[in-house]
This record gives sequence, structure tokens and C-alpha cells, in this order.
Amino acid sequence: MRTTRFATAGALSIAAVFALASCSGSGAAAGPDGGPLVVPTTKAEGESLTVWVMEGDYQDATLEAINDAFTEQTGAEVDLQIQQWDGITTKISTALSTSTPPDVIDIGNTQVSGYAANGGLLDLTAYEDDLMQGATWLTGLEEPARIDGLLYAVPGFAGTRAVIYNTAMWAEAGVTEIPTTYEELTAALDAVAAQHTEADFSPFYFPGQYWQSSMQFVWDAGGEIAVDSDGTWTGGFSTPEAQQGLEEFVEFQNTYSTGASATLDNITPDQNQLFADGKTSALLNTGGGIAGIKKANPAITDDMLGTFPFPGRSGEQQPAMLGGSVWGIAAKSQHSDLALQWAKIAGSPKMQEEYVFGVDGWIPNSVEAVEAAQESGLTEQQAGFFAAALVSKATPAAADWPTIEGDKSIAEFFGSIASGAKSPADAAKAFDAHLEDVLNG
Amino acid sequence: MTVMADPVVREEHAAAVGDSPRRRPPRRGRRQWAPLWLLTPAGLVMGVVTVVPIVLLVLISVTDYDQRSLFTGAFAFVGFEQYAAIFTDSDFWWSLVRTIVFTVAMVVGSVAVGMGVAQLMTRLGTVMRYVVTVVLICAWAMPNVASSLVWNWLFQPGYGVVNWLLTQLRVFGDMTDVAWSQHPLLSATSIWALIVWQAVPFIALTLYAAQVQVPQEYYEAARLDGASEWTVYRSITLVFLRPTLLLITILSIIWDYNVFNQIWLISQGGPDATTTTLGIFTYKTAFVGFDLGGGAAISVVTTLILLVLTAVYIRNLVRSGEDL
Repeated sequence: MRTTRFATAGALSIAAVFALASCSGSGAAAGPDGGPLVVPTTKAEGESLTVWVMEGDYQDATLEAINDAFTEQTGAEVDLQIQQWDGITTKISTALSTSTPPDVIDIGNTQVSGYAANGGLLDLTAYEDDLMQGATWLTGLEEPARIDGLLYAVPGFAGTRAVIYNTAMWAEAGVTEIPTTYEELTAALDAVAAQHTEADFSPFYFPGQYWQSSMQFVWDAGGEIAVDSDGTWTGGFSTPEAQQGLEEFVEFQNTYSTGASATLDNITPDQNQLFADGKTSALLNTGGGIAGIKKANPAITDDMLGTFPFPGRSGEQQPAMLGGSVWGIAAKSQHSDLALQWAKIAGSPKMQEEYVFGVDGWIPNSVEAVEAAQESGLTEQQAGFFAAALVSKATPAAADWPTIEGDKSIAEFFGSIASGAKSPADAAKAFDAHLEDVLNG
Repeated sequence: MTVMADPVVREEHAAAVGDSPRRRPPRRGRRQWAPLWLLTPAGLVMGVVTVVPIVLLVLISVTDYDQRSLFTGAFAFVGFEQYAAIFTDSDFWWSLVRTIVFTVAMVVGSVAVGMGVAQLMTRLGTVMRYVVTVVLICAWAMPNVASSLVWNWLFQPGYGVVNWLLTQLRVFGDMTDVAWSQHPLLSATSIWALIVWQAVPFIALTLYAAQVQVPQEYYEAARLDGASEWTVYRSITLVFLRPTLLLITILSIIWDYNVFNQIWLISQGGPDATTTTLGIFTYKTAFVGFDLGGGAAISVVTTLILLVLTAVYIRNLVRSGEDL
């Protein structure tokens, strides 16, 4: 019937008009002009601030301390939500695009440049001086949060990777000195392997897909992930240095870790759990791993755990990935003044020294805090991580880097080499092509 | 011929004039609004949930919408550039090939196993039949996200039950450390097994319901004539099952073409893009790489391909006189 056809066409066009109207948004919120600003101290009784925290980043005690200080200062409550790492880039991007995003987000420093460059985070440049509170932030944390000189996030903490080993198991095998060279490390692991011959025991558990750790071998040999020359990125895994590093990684992984682990990542199964259950005597993990192991098995005490930086074949310790987290505020946040106050508290020297370093064992976000921590005396466990932080590297500072982490291509790359499914040369060629495709937009 | 037409015309005329007390025909020029009012709530919901997203999808596919557009709302119309980019991208064509191969394998597998299980159920005693039905329904009712996660653990290298079982068979050697999701053929096989396992219950129960409708006299007659069981199945059961089978095949093709959860949760489209079907490819483009314009274009093309396939199939059905 003619009427029905017209009615349908009319309904569709009305729907399209509504859709288009909602589609075209306004431009970015107007930023503060003029000189530096102080973080507002508004009170907001009864309001609620939404904070997203990544799993494993902060202990409950630390988050409670920040929340209590915040509630005391503003009267507002905090709705804390713990997020999983799998698929987080998609989840954060989706959340930042809504009109009621989470106000404060705990973002990995390898992922923040993507959101900042695309306008998802609030520009904090005007509040910079007040947020710093007199401290000098670590470059590895501040750099990724700056786009064109503008600041988009407050550094939270830094972490590097060091070897965590079971002192009891190693003492049983006759190893009492901390290895300082690669040969000493392999000798120690061989001694442990001789004592434990179960099929599912790894002297050194090294999941093949845990690329943040595997990269240390490539960096130790002189390779890079990708090199930027005049705005064009070139993948670095096909260079002779990187190939050598990859082959050394495969050799180590295949010798000291179970065959099953070649294609697994560090989360399924949880490598801290495996260590706590006695299925391995050593693993390469961040400072949070200590807390994670003790949580998985409360019977493990501090004197059973030791740490040291992974010694490289080059004779120096392997460069460790300087990971870390920063606190970003959503550009469309409905409570930006409350969010600024929360972020200021989380990044404050007091919180950093007492909780981020004191409770979590992370490396605090500023040079002054690191020095204070070293003066106050590092525990044996923390010493290894702080030593590892002295030689550290970061992932490429490209706006599209989060896509490489999100599509798991880098994890699969290392996993396929470790399992022998592909030769390092073939896998590197394919992965470099993918890297260049994504990083160059 | 006029003689034949008369009774028909007279009947229609009689109905129109209102001889029968049951029907009151609408007066000329007065529409009946009641049905339309009753349909409005459902129509609105359908419009919002189905029509608007499709319109938006087509609109986005002609723009360069990306992550920046998500945050700031700024985008530009680029005409059919996205479509041109897709058709020149070899990744898209390979995804299409993989989708077709995967869909055919899954449909053939699930329909064949389903037919077998339906035939089995006709031969079982009452108690066993109930047991099999309950088991089938449990498998079918399990949410596919939960079953994908369970599947991951079943096929886990080192600790997975499947690897242990296969090692016990002593036919394939030591399978304990085999990583199913990292081997191209094995990951496709485990995903195929999961999907067939969850598709079989529906197919089996539907075919069983159709099979019990077949009059028993045909079977008795055929067996009296000395036909073998295969001939009986082919000449009688399959003939009666044809309409149901065709319907199930169309449904299976549509569902298996659109499979996403199981593939994403088991292998994320890997290893090396071996299990990247069109759905996974769209997701990776749109929601991992945040090229939403490109992803939308791929979605539109995917839907059109499926529409064409289904239209051809249905047209053939209608032409051959079958009931849908």
C-alpha cells in the first residue's frame, strides 16, 4: 500500500535525522587559558566519583588510604571498580566516548599516549605545577603522558621486572650466591633442575607470550621494537641484533621452562600462583609479583623470596621494560574538579612514599621519592627491582601503539617463536610488516 | 473459464457484502486504526533496536570515524573510500574465504551429527531417550561464553583434560604439551568441535520431532519389501525430513556465518589470522584498531553477502514449491 511505503520512508528519514544530530558532537571542552591554576578544593557531599583501577596495580590498603583522604577532603564517596587487563584498550576507549565516563582511570604508561593524542583525556597542563607538588616526575612516566608539550595524566608508579626466586629451593640445590652473570644463572638453574625432575616443574617459568619479559633478551642484544625516523616507524625485529636476541630467548625458554608454557601468557595460568604452588623456582615479574605470590600462598614469607636483575649475555644486566601506571581524567568527566583532587592525592609525595612504595613495593613516581626510598633502606626484595630500574627502556611512543598490545600480535609473535611454530626470521618479517602498518597509521 | 470463476467470485462478493454474521467488513474509506495502535510499541522497539543501528552503520561506513571521532565527535564524509579500501585489501578477501570454508565445515558437521543423533533417538527406549534429551538440552542451554572458557581449560597445554585423554589413547603420541589455540589447524578444529557440540542439540531435537511424524506404515511396507536400512532411510526418512532439513540448513548457515564469541574467546582470530573470519576481522578493525569507518563498511558488505546467499536459497525453495 502506498501509505505504508511512505510511512516507512518517513520513519527511516526521521530516525536518520535524529541519529545524525546525535552523531555530530561539539568540539573539545574549552581549556583554561592564562597562567597556572591550582587544583580546585570544592566540596561535594553525597556525590560519587568513579575510579577505574587495573587488577594487580594497587593493594587494597593503598586504595583505601587514598579514598579515605579524598572523602575527608571533599565529603564525596568513591566508586572503585577493578578492571581486567584483557581487552582493556577497547573497554577504556568505549567508556571515554560516552557522556558519563569513569572520572579517573588507571592507565598503563604504554597505552596512555593513544587516548591522549585522540582527545579522550582531560588536558591537565594548567594544573601541572600544583599536581607535581614540588617533585620531579620520572621521565619514563611523564613522557608518554605528554602530547605536544601538554600534560594529560598524573604519574602513579613505575615498575620494572626482575627475577624473583625461591631462596629455599635454591639453597637446597646448593646455590647461595645471587647470580651476577648469565653463566652463573644457568648454572644455578641447572642445579635446581637436577633436584626437581617432575614433568610440570620449570626451573625458571617463562611464558612464551609474556612479551614484556621476553623483550629484555632483544634489548640486551642491541635490538629495538621499532625506530622512528622523521615520523615514519620501521620495525626492528629483523635486524641481526634482534634476531640474535630472539634466538637467545628461545634457547633459554625452551631449556628452563615447560614445553606447555611456550604459548601461554603470564595470566592464564597465573605465574604467581605457579610460583606459590612450588611449580617453579624462579620467574621474571614486576614488583607487584611479590605481593601477588604472598597473597596466593600466605605460607611464603619474605625470607623465602629473593630478587635480582636478570643478567644478560652482553655482560650487563638486561634492560628492563619501565612499565608503570598513570592516572588519567576523562575529558567528558562530569566531576572533573573532584577527579583532579583525587589524582592530586594519589600522586602526592606522602601517598607515594607511605603506600605506593611502602605497601605495594612499587617504584614511586618522582626522583625525590625514589631517593627517599633508597635512603630509608630497601628490603632485599625491593633492591632487585630498584637495581633493574637503573637500566630500563620503554615501548615506542606512538599514538597507535595500544593497537599492537590490544590485538595481541606481539604476544603471539613471541609465543610462535618460543614454541617453534615459526623461525625467528620468518616471524620477525611478518611482525615488522604489521608493526609498520599499524604505527604509521 | 468463466464457469470455474463464478463460485469464487460469488464467495468473495458474499463475504464483502456481509452475508455472514461473523465478519463485519470495513466500510469503504474508513481505516482500521486499532491494529496499528497495538503494533506501535513493538514497532517502536524494533525500530530503535534494529532499524536505527543499521542506518547508523551505513552512515558510519561512508565516513572516516575513528578513535578521535569517538572522543571529540569530529568526523568527515569520505564517500565510498572505505569500500574501495576493503576491496583492495587482501586481508578482507582471505577473511571471506576463511568464513566460507569454516561455515561449510560447521554446517556440514552439525547437520550430519544432528541427523545421526535424531535417528539414534528414534531407536532408543523411553528412559534413554529422556536422558539423551536432557543431556542435549543442557549442552544447548550453556551460554556460549561460559562454554568457550571451559573449552579453553579442556584444551589447555599441560593441564588440559583433552590432551591427557588423547595421550592415553596411545595413538597420537604424547599430546600433553600441545597448544591447540596456537596451531592453525588444531585451533580451527577445537573451535569447530565447540560450535558443532552446541549446535547439534537444536538440530537433533528438531529433526527428531519431524521424524516421529513420519507414518510408520511406510517403514513397515519398505521393510516388508526387503529394503536395507540405508535404503529405508534414504527413500522415506530423508524425503519427509527435506523441508525441515532445508530450514535447519539455512538457519545453520546464518548462525555459523555470524559466529563470534567462540572464535574470539578461544583464539582471538589467531594464530596468524588463521581463524579470522569476517566477524573477527570486523571486530579487530573497528574495536581494536579503532578504524570504525572501515569496520562499518566491512559489516555492510558482510551482511549484503549473507542476504544475497539467503535470498538465492529462498528463491530456489519457493520456485521448487516447497513450504518454508
